[in-house]
Amino acid sequence: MAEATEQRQGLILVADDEATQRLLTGQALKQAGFDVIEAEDGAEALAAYEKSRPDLILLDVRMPKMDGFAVCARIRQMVDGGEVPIVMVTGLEDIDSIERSYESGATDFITKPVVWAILSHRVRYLLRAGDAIQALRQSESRLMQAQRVARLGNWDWDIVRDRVRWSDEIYRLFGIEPDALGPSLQSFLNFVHPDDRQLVTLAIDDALSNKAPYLVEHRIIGRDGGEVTVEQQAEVVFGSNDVPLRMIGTVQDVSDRKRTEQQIHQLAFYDSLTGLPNRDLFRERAERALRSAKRNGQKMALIFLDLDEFKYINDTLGHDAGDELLCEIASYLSHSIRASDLVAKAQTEDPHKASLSRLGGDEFTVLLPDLHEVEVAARVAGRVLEQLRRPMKIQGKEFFVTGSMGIAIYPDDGDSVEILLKNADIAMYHAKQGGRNSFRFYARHMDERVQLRLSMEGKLKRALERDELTLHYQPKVEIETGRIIGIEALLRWNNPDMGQVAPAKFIPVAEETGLIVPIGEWVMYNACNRAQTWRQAGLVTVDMAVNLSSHQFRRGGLVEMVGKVLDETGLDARFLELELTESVIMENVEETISVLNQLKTMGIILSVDDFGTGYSSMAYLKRFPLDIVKIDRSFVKDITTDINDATIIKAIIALARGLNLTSIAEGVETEEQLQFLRRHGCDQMQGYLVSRPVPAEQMEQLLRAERLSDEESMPSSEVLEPGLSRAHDC
Amino acid sequence: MTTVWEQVTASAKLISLPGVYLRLKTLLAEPDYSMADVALVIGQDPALTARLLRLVNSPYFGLTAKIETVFRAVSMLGTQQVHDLALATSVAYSFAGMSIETMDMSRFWRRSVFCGLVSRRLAKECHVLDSERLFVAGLLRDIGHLIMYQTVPEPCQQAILVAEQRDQPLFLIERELIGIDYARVGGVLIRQWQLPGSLREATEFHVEPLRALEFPLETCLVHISGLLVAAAESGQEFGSGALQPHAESWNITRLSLPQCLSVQAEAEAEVGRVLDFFLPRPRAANG
Repeated sequence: MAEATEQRQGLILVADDEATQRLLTGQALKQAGFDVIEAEDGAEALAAYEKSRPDLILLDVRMPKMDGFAVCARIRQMVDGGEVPIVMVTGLEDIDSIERSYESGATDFITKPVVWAILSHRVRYLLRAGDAIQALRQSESRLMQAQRVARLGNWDWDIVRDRVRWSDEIYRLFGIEPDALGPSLQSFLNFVHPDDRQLVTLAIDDALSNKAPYLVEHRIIGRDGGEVTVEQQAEVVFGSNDVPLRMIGTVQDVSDRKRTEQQIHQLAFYDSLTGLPNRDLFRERAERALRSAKRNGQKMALIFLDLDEFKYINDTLGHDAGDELLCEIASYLSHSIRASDLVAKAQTEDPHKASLSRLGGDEFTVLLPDLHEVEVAARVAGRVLEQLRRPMKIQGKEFFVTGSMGIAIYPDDGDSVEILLKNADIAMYHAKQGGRNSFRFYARHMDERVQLRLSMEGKLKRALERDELTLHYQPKVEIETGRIIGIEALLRWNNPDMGQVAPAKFIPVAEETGLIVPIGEWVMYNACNRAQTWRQAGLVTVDMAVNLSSHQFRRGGLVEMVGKVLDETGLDARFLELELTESVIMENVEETISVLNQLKTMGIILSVDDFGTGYSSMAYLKRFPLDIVKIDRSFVKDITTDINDATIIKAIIALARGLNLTSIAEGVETEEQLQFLRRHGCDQMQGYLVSRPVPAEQMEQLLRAERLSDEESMPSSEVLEPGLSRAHDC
Repeated sequence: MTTVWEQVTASAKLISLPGVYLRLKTLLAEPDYSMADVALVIGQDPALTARLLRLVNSPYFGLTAKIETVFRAVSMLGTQQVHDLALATSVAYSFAGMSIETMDMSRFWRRSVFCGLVSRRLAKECHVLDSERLFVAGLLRDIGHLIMYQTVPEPCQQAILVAEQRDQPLFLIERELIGIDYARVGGVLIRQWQLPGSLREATEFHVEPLRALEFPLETCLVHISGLLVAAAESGQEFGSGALQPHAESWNITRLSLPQCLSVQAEAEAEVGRVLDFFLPRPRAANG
């Protein structure tokens, strides 16, 4: 069959109560390549539809049991019955039927008598139209779904009629019922965040006048008061003569993206502990402020703040306490430079305001753009110091923290952020050196010293490994007998590049860097070892004195370290003397007493160094288990010429005696000073008059001479060479 | 033909102080020497060390506790005094081997120590700060004679006799008979040894104290001391004839005659006790 070869074009349901009519219709369709099923009445038609889901239905209007209109309406009510084309077959000029067909949801109608030749064509057309509609509907629904997922709403503004059509998604965005938005642009604008309204209207106006599509990001306040950030894009459709006809736009909810962006920004540019801007953001802001200052010929200040003794708090109380303290300080500082609003409003920050950042650790910066006068920077720094002066409560304990600050000014102290930061750091270092809890403006001469210090730091680290450290020894003499009764071990550093470095220069560096711990241990070991070696050689029965730095004292573990060294060297504790400065002793009285008592129990001799220079209080001295008071050299220097110094020394000697302490004068340089000290009953002396600190070999020579002449009996008969012949030898 | 002067100075040149003393002197000329340095230098010479400690522990110092090491001596007595003691004992040591037939060496040293003691005591009377230094100045007063007795013994003997006969100062007679005097020769030695200026002036000018430019007081003290010692030894009266001090020396020292006489007596009593500690052992001990 020729027909059979034709491609199957669709399944057609033909419902008619007249058999002839069914036959003819069916044949005409089959001939055109359609598959056909038939139904004799309305009920049969419904059943056939449900069973076979035909692609098109031809319904005779008049049928028994259920007419065509009813069948059509029923099918249209079915879940997927909305789209199948239904063609009603009506009597000619039966206008009423045609009308009813439309109402019951029919797609089209044909009138009897049917022209068989064109029926199949008619059906083909209808099928194609149905496909198109279905495709349109599907794509429409897919679009809607996509828009819902993308939170993308759209609107269409008929400019000529000034009516706006809103998509469902827009209602959802605004948190309102569909159709609750008026058909005007103004009703949309009402939902825009008041701060952004101008931005949006300007964009629209601009699009209308310049024919340019726009993209703006703005906020919307929903009915429930929630804030949503949207991205709005729109373009204008123009008619002839450039008259704007329509404007079509999309509105997309980008709140989530925005939040993520902000989170990323927060992570990237803010310190997670304190919430302050971090080093990167600081740098960005500083660069911006610097550019603006350069452009406007203005000054800018950069303040570098470093907390004093933060390491100590971290070490003794743990990092949690340290973190807590940093947060507390960050909030104090924010208040003191009124920067709290800046921290909150990172997006809309005012570049002309001061801003606080945390560079890391216990380092903070304050940026002061648009500086009218340098004094402002000093005032801000002063305010920061004042804020820090308040006690902080950490883990139930009160703390007083101080900070040291350095200030660098653009353009005076540098023209790049990097240099300004470096110089502020240098100035800060000087503030620290100068007694902490203060601020300093950068000055050019500071550079050199800091460079020196930095290079010294590196060299000092290697000094131990490279054996550059040595001990020198200085004897202490009992004034009444002239005997050497003790030796003080003094650290010396001989660096290949720098030569002899004075302890006053490198000890502070060692303390700052923590190198004082291994160095202190090295000194203790070598001094004790030397003392023990000399003792075993029968050279001395004197004490070996070792100086302790405040860092060694406060760091803890001192008693253990000393005990270990005594064990290792075999030196009896009663031959070891530890010298502490007055300021070390007074720093933390209760703790000091406890440590000193432990050392005392071991049998160690304790002396207080530099006595008279600090807040010396004899009443305090009584509380410490001390043995010796060393009178500072500054008093000894002028005892023979300055009546005040003479009086002070006499008083110290008398008080020491009253407290049953041994007095020793440091820095004795002349015989006149010695005579004075002897006259006033000072017990011991030490100084250049007796001997400079000398290397071990030289000290050993002196000790050997002491022993030799000690042991030698007086020669009873001295044998003398003839003077003249002797003279030739010389 | 060599003159007497040339003979005497050539002889003086042969007398040098021991190396250890020279090293000590060099050290003390440095600005920053310490007691330990001084002790170590002296300690290099065990003989000097022993002599020094003997002196330090002698009745001359009258210390109660024994000083057993040089370092202790230095820290107790001070560097200058230790230097002066080292100098005194070194000078004596340098001449110790000298034997002069015409001269009783032990008498010479007794007189010199006696003079040193008088000078030291007179200095104390005058409240001179470095009164201890005057001991050495007195000790060295007559040092020139050691050279002269060795080089030109006979004229020296003659000069002594003439001076006694005429009751005139010895140095004047020596100048007259020999062409040089012992004070001048002493000055040559002191200069040669580069000793402190006070010692040089006192030695060279004690016979004519007004010639002293820098140290008139020291020079006057040694001047008076010499006359006191000569008086004691000769049994003559101090203050008359050749033993009369220069009038100006009374003004400079502000000493009184009774003060001088009482010092003379005290020193004479002391000299016996301390002489042995200063005196080089006689050569006989060697043989």
